[in-house]
Amino acid sequence: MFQVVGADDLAVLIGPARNGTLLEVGLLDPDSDDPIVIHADKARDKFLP
Amino acid sequence: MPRTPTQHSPQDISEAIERLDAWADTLTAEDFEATGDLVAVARAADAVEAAKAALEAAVVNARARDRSWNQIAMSLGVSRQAARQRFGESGRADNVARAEKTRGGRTVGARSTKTQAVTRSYKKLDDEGVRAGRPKGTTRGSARAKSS
Repeated sequence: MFQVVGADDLAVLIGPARNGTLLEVGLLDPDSDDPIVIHADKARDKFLP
Repeated sequence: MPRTPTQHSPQDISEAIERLDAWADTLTAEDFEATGDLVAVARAADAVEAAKAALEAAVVNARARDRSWNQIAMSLGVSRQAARQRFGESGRADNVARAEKTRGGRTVGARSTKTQAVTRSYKKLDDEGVRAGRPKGTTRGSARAKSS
């Protein structure tokens, strides 16, 4: 799992789904007790190492 | 200290989605930090919780088979008092064990008339969903699904 946090209240995570597909997930308030998923999609090619 | 859940309006969330889209466009693979160590912590914490639940279920099962607190304490490697305080003080292990033993009207082991009467009371309460706090006529699963 990889993550990048920015703009204080936003974060993007990159990690595998259960079938192995790499996903990018956007979170609002990632450090709170109740982060909200505001984006989820296949990871963009540019995010892959 | 528990934090108060943050409230967001639909407009706040729409605005956050737009900010995220714009920000994500500027990111590259080098911006991401590996978090495998934190994932390992979370997985270990999940394993601990699962092991605790398995241990409690095992104690309930042992009590349902009329194992004494002495025997259970020896298996746990703790004193009888410690075992009872951890698993039996609230009566939960023994209550569940009684219900398990009498499920389907079958009993395991010889018991006094008084014990059998108490057991029947537990079974009746269990059948009515009173002890589990669920409405009559629902299963544990359906009650949980309705409440969530």
